[in-house]
Amino acid sequence: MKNISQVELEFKIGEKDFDVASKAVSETKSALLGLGLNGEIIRKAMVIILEAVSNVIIHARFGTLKVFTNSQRILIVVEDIGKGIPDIDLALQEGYTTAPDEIKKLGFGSGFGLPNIRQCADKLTIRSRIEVGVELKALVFIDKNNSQATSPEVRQKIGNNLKKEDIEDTEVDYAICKK
Amino acid sequence: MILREVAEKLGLINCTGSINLDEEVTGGYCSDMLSDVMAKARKGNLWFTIHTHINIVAAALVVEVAGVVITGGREPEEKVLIRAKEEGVPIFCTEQSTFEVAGKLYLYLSNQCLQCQT
Repeated sequence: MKNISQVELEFKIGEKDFDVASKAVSETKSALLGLGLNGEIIRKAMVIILEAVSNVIIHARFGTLKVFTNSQRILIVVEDIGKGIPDIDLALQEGYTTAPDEIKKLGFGSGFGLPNIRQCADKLTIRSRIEVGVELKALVFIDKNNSQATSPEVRQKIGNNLKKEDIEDTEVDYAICKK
Repeated sequence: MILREVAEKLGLINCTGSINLDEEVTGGYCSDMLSDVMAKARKGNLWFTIHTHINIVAAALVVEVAGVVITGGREPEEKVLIRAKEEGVPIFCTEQSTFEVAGKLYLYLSNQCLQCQT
């Protein structure tokens, strides 16, 4: 297997700054293509990035996107300062949205953003503090053949072999930290 | 059928010049919800939409569509075309409705399949 170097990228997400969404997708995609990663793995990471960054732009005041890659996984961390998510279970339901009409006119706010992220991530953590913000961490696994890890058994094996610092505190699927 | 041929057959107005016109068109997808496009459209699809803003470039990059067709006589913002050219995303316009132009593509690709089988 090709030796995959580490990639670390960071983007600042400003208020209503949709330009940064396409910039983040473009630059991250270029970086991951440069590592020789499988197209399906890259697609999943790009979906997570565009949906998560868009959520910050739509619902929060500002935030950051960080992407870390090593030979085992792509870790995507999106943090924002904003109103937070009062009910994460509800927010994960397909079709549920609090996006205003002007956002829906741009093609967002369908209520499928977080469900898309959950579909693409092999591991996902969402934490929120009301009136503080949201932290989202998503992992996309890279199996040793650099191919799509489709079976739950393979995903479980990769997950078990990750070092603690690789997954940090993403053991819990999602949690709400009350103020 | 490659994008250049498809654009000609459908009578599309090319807004981004000669970029990536030799890509194979694998099918079409009609949607004006970006999350839906990201979830369901496939690489090489021609994406039909009414949206004209910068977000269509990002979504097109994620899915790796063959191109984006803006329908109903709408025109993309200039900065969208600049970004699309930078990213290699072909963008077209048409006066036709999404229903009409996507239907034509479906017929062309279906007839092609039939011809290949005979």
